[in-house]
Amino acid sequence: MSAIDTDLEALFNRLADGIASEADEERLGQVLRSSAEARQAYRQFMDLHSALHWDYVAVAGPESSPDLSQPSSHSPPLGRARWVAAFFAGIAVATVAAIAIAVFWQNHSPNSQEKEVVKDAKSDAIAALLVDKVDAEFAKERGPAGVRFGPGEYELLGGIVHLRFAQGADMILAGPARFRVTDAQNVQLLVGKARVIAPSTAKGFTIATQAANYIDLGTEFGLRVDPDGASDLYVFDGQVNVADPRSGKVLSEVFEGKSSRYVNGVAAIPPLLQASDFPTPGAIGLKRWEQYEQELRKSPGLISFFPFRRGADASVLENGIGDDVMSNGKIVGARWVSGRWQEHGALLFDRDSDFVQLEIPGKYEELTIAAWIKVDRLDFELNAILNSDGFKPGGVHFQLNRQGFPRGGVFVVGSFKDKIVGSAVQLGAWAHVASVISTPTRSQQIYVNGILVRERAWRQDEMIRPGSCRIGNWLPETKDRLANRSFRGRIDELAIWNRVLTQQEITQMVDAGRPGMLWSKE
Amino acid sequence: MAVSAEFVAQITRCQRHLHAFILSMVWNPAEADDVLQETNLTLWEKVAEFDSSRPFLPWAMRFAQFQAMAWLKRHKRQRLVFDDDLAKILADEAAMHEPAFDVRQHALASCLQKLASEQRKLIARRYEPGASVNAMAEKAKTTAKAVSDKLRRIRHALLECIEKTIAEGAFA
Repeated sequence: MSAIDTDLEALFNRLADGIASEADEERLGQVLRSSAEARQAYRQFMDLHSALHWDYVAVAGPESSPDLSQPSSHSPPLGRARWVAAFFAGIAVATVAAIAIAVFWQNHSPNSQEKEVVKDAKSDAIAALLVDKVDAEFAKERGPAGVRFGPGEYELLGGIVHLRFAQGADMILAGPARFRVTDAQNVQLLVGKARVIAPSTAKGFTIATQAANYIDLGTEFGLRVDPDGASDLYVFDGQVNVADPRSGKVLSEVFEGKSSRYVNGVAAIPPLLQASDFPTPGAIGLKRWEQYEQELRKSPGLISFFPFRRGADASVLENGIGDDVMSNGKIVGARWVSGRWQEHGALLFDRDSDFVQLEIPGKYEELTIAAWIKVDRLDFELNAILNSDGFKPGGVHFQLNRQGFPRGGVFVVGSFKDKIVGSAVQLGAWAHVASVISTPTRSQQIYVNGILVRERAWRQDEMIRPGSCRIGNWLPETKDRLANRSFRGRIDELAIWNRVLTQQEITQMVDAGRPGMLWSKE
Repeated sequence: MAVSAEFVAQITRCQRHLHAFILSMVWNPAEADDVLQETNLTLWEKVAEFDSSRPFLPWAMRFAQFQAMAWLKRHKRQRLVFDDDLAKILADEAAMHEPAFDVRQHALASCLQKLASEQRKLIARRYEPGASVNAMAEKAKTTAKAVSDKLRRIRHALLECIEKTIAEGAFA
């Protein structure tokens, strides 16, 4: 090894051990910029530094929860923990598999050698992440650290939470519930109701209860643990094995559509399934939106609100506010389908003849139109979300161009300036679009998912007179080069205010109405 | 809402590699854990944007790069060393050497077994949660530099052993 290598290695060591000087840092910056060889040496050193840390924390990995006799008997072995245990014993068993099986997030948890770090275990380790919630309230000091669930006990007082475990299992819990997270594949449900959806990567995901252990074999199921200790299993899809919590022996194999009840390891007759006991991931988003809907209805200046709820007459798009200013919409062609959530309605616009006709009477100085849309295709140069019929001063247009950029505003005589500052609406994903028009300032802003994407300014004074309009289409009055502006996709919420909404208000609407926590604004 | 098993497998597989890269920017392993968690959250958020026909690691590495830079800026650290350009070079090169990374990890497993018991204990103390060279020095009534020097010799032995093991083709 050359002298420079030794020097460099000493420098890397000082950085790793937290005793480097400013001069060291400057030198590192210089050598990394100037030498590929130095970068390689640095990368290999840091790989080692990382591996030593990574493998050390595994030795403090989760062991059997003291209250469970056989919590891990059916889960895959934790390769890393086993390897490090061997490392400390000095036994050469480091196999390729042991390293290849990476445990997703490291777990610091109780270990005989490491009693002093136990206190911090919950905040440091991650076995699962909170991916969605509604009304969720945890007992004091029995909640997650932000969105992180490490090993430990949790108490959900009310609401619904959606946890995603590190190996891919999803657990949706309805409060009240008490549970203990052991690691990415093992949970103990003390009391409460849980729906589990496990992809193949999480095969073996186990929920332990006082009465029995439930081992998921790639499936979807509901599990309810009563305060008296009885537990009821309902398998919606796939197979779940029920095992004796003491011996680990498989007591029964429960398949799709079947249920089981165990009391202290003894089988009993399960009660009938109450579907509302086991909310789906989508139910969380829907419930959040329903709460927001109540507030939205009280929003000042709201002149129309279409929640896209299918009513008694399927050809009517009901205006959800009791105000007589505006009538309901008349659905022509467009079909009822599911919206952002399975239980939420939407209209599908897929043919040139599909639209909703409605009337927005009156004259306005300001107007905000907001909608949730999911675009399948952009077949035309302009694709209408909500357009006044024809083309007359005061009419409003809100549409997407072929690139997915929203455009339109109030029709005024004379020139206007458009400035595109943001990104287009993505195909195939739910998006919130809002058009905010102000005639006193002769300006308009368009937001996609709460982010400003287009601004328009004009010179001529003009009041806004939407009048007769179509959702998802446009009715040209005369021969028009761009006559066909049929929307292709779904719309499941549309609201109109007679005032300007702030970006903050729009962002709140986006956050409350987002399909799920993993939905991205960008 | 559905996340493909493929995505879960990919994100699981690249954890060590992402951690090693992040550590090369933040230097403290526990802090690298934090940045890794933030990166994981971002990856979950961006799952819809992932093109499964393209390699996963370079895509994920880009988010690790942004998160590490953001973390350094937030904590006003390493300003003399890293800028966006250098971070990108390191991330690109780390992603490029994915196969070598795996081979070296395998080699390390056998090299660790060859350490003397005293050396293993020192490594264990250095890398246990919450440990620091300064605290180790205080406990052993010596200087941080003396402790770091001992660690340097062990790390050097491991790095040499990795090279030797690979050269011998023991893990080919």
